[in-house]
Amino acid sequence: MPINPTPEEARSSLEAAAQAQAGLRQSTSPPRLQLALASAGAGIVVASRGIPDPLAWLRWVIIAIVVIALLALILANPSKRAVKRGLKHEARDLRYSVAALIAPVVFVMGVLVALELIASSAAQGAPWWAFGIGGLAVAAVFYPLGRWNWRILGKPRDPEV
Amino acid sequence: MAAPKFNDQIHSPVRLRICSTLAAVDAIDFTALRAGLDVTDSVLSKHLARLEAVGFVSITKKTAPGHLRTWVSLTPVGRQVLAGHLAALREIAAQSGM
Repeated sequence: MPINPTPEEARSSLEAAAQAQAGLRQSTSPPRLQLALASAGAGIVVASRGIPDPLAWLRWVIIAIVVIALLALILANPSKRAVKRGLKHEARDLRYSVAALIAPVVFVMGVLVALELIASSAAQGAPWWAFGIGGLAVAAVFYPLGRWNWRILGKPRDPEV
Repeated sequence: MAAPKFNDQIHSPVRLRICSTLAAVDAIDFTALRAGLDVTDSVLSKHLARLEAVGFVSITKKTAPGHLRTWVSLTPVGRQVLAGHLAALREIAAQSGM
């Protein structure tokens, strides 16, 4: 017997479908704070390379602060849920957190490494084809890492249901 | 934009939520899907089996260190059918003039 939903039923079905996707995004998207911290951390580390030699220790302080903050975020995030869900789920949550954290870092670092390679190669008068080889080398390293992250997180697709 | 076409197989509330969730990702771990939908193993397995039988989802089992992991994804056909079904639902919902 064919199903003939009423407009109200159709509307509630659409809402349920949208909520299912929203719930997935909420559980798999990298937390904004982590993403912001990771990006800022990568930026600070790179920027700190311009610090003059007498203040070189400052670079390590900045790196230490960023690393400690990121580790604290990784460890704090799953432990709240772990109490409710049990230890079995903690591993999955931890994996999600690590993947959520690594994804933006991998992306930012990949871009920075590529830019730095291009800048240094250009400064040394590298031929044009060297940029292509450099780009491929960077992609060969960072693409699998990115895929690994998205595989765990669930790669986002069409934003519309 | 897919042509509106109502699909009885997808219209079941759980199956619609499964397909909507899968539409947002390439593939998702069975455990993560179950947690996201808040259903039991048996309910999810039953509905996935039904969707797999009609070719809307594909289920692959891969070995991870120490255990077998089940990955679920929407097939291209399933993605198309879901888009058509949602378009049909939007048309029906619009009939009330709201």
